[in-house]
Amino acid sequence: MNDIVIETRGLTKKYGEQISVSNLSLHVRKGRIYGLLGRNGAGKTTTMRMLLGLTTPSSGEVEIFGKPLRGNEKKILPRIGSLIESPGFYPNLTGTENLLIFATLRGLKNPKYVKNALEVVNLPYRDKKLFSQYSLGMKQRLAIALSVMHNPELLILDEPINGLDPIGIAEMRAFIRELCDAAGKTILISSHILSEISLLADDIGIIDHGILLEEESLSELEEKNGKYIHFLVSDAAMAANLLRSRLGIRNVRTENAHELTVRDRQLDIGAAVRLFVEAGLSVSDAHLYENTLEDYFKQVTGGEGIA
Amino acid sequence: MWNILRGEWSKLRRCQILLVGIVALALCPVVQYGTQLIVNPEIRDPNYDFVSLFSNVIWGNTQIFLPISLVMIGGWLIDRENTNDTMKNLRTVPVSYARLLGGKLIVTLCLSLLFGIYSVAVTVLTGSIAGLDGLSAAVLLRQGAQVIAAAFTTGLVCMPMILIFGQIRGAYLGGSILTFFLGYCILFFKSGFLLSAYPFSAALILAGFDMETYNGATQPPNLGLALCGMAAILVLTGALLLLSRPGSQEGRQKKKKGRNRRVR
Repeated sequence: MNDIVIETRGLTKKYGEQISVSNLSLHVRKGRIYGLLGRNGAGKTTTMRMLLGLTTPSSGEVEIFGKPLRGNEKKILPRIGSLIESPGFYPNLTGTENLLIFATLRGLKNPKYVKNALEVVNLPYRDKKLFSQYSLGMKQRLAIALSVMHNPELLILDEPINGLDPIGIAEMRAFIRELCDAAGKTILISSHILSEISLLADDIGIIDHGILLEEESLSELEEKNGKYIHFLVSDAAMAANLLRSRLGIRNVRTENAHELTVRDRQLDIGAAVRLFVEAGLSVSDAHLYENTLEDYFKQVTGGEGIA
Repeated sequence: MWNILRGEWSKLRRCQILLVGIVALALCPVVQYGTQLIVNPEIRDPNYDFVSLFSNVIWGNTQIFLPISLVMIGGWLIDRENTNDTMKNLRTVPVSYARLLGGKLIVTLCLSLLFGIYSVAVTVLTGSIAGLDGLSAAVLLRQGAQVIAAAFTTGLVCMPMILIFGQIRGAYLGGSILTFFLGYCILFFKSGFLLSAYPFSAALILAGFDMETYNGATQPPNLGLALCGMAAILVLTGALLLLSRPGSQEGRQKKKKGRNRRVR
């Protein structure tokens, strides 16, 4: 059974000579949270706009729910909730009035849809405060309420925690997690805040300069990027042979004549050091290292870190 | 479409731009009556009554006040979707762009009718305060209906300008000024084809208004040509609706995102 909800093939967006998104092939699986991670200006928003038909791709294809987006917008878009860039609402209306307009357009006649949506983001129903008087955090909450109001199967959220205070961020994270776990929603979320993505996403795509550099599950990424043991010994080659032959460790790499790294969580460091000493090797250092996602991001993007 | 219209109507709540129409149409009878007062006594109309005031209001509304107000309000209704960044929400519902614009035009036409009714009320009030003679139920019905009809036909004539200038970011104000000049041009077409076919003249002719006293027309108007002029406006509006594409948001995105970025 095909469990891919969003699939893009060779998705590209050019603005004149400048390429904003290049040959992007994205796969978002059903019932999972996909975190699109990248620096500001990496192409996250442009990608999301293309997924929603707000920006026309220069080339490539977008398939959502197994159907091409182009030509099927009327069938596909009502099944999606979205928040793209900053929240856009009518400043002369209250939050409730704003949501009622979009509920009317979606054919949601019962006001309970609006009431429920406001409740889940902790905004009051029928409040008299105008949208123009809202704080940035309240505006963001209202935008989230709009995106979930019609109970969509897929949510596309572009930097949803922007403007929220720390408590609001934690609440939003729990809310998004619950939408996925309890309600079975598929969620594509973008952020330039690495910690948010690592706390929330099941699958991660790293985008940089419009190119999707990596796409894998968080567990695969942790596996690939996880802990390793670094030894500084008098003879790295001999130490590697000892680990392989005596302890059955396969994932051993000699970095140079004196350094070797072992990416095997089963290895007992004490046992390895005893083995080296008994074999006449001197051991200057044995250390357990753990790469952070940020280290990995730097490694993948070949440059600076991220927030 | 009904849902779009309901939504558009709801969006008008607390909109200060409506004051433009309210103030402009309140000014019209006052200015028209004031003009009568400030002219030399020897050329002043001694029989100036309610019928005269109503006629002056119809002329002033179509020539000046309604084109400015309706294009400004209608253009703003379109422009605000980009200014408030709500177009993305509408397009992901999804709402058809042509239907959305059509909805805004219909709301503007409804406003033109309401402004017409309001104009009748303000005219009656102004005339009563000024102590003019000649107000009767028959005059009120006949002249009032003409004010409302002329407001509606003027609204129809303004539709292409609303569509064009509403879709150019921030241009609705310029569009309303240009439309004011176009309205003012009724004065220059005293005979021939344009006397009847010029859209603003057609708006008055179709409302049954006699322009002779105001623009010095040298021949009677031709109803057929007026219908042709109005039909041309409707065809142009339809074509603009079909050809319109939501592009300005993408343009903004392009500016914002396109800077200094190239794929390595």
